Amino acid sequence: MTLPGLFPYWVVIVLMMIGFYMVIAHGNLVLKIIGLNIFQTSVFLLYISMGKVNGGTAPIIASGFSRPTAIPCPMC
Amino acid sequence: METLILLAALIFLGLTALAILRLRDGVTAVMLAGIYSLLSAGVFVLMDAVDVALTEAAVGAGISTVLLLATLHRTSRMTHRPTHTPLIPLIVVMVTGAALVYGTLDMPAYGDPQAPVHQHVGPDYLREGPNTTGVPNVVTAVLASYRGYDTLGEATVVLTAAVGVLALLRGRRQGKERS
Amino acid sequence: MDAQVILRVTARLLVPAIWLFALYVQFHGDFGPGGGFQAGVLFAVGFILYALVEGLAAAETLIPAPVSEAMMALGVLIYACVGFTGMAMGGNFLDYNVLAHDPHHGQHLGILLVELGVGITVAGVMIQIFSAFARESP
Repeated sequence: MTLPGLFPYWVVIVLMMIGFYMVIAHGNLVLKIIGLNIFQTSVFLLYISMGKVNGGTAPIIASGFSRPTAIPCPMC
Repeated sequence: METLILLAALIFLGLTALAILRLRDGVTAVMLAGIYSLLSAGVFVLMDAVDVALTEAAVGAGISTVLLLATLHRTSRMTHRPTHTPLIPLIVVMVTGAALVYGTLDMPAYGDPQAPVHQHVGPDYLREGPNTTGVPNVVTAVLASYRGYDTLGEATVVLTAAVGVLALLRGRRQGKERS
Repeated sequence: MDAQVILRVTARLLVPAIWLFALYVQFHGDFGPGGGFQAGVLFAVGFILYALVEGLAAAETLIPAPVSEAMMALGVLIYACVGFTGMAMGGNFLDYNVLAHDPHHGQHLGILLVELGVGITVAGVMIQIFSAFARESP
C-alpha cells in the first residue's frame, strides 16, 4: 500500500499554516518564535518529501547497496 | 508497514502542532515544540534523509528547548487571553492555505521516480560524487565540496548570529551595572 | 540530597560518552550520517548538561569563556584558510584538488578540514550563547 499521491504535501501545508497563524496572531514573542520553528520544520519536510523515491534508501553510496537512493539535495 | 508508520507519524505531527496552537503557557509550549522536533526527525528518517534527521534532532529537540526555556525564565511565562477573536489572521491563513493546496495539484505524486527533480542534477551527484571526491556520503560531498562556498557562508551566518546575541545580552548587563 | 546524587553521577557518566559520540560523528561524516554541524551541537550539548548539573562555574573550569570565544572565530578562519591555501597552490578559491599530491587525497583532506572548521565554530557559538543566558540573573 502506498500513500495517496499528495498526502504528505497537504500535511506540510497544514503545518505551514499553523506556524504562520502562530506568528501573526499570538502576542507573546516566545510563542511567535515557536510558531516560526514549526514553519521551518514544515519547509524541511516539503523539500525532503519531494526528494524521496519509492523503495529507495539513504544517499550513502557503499559497496553492497545498489538500490536507488533519495536525492541528496533537491533544491540544488 | 512503512507507510502505516509514516501516516501515523505525520498525523501525530499535525496533532502536536494543533496542541501548541491552543496553548497559553510558555513552558508547556516549549516542551511540546521539543516533541514536535523529535517526531519530525523520525519522519525525516522514514523519508531517507538521515543527515537532516540527525541535525534536526540535535538542534530542535536539544539546543532549542534549553535556549527557549532560558528565555522564558527571563521574561514572562504566560500569555494573556486575547481580548478579541483574531478574525483577520484566520481569514488570511485560510486563503493562503487554499491557494497552496491548489498549487500542489500540479505536483508529481509522492515517491515517484520519474519526477523532474530526479532527472537533472541529482543523478549526476549520485553517480560522480563518490568517484570524484572519494567520499561515500553524497550529502557531505555536496555540502563540503560541490557547494563548499555556501557552507562558508552558513558558518559566517552562525558566527554573526552569535555576535548579535552576545552584543544584546552583554550590552544590557553593562548598561544595568553602570546605572 | 538523594536526587542530586543520582543526577550528578548520571551526568558524570554521560558527558564523556556524549563528547566521544560528538568526535565520532565529526570524523565519520564522510562514511555515514554526520558532519560538522551535528558534531558541534553534540559537543555543546555535553557541556550544557555538565553546566546544568554542576553549575556554570564548575563547567567553565573545563572550557573557559575566552577559549569558547576564540573557538567561534577559529572555525571560520580554518575554513577560509583552506580556501586561500588552494589559491596559493595554484588553483581557484576552495579548490581541493591541489591540496595534496593527488586529487583524491586532496578532496579528502579538504573536506576533513572544512568540516572540522564548521564543527569548531558551531560548538563555540552554542557554548557562548548558553553561557550568556546562564551567567546573568534578572
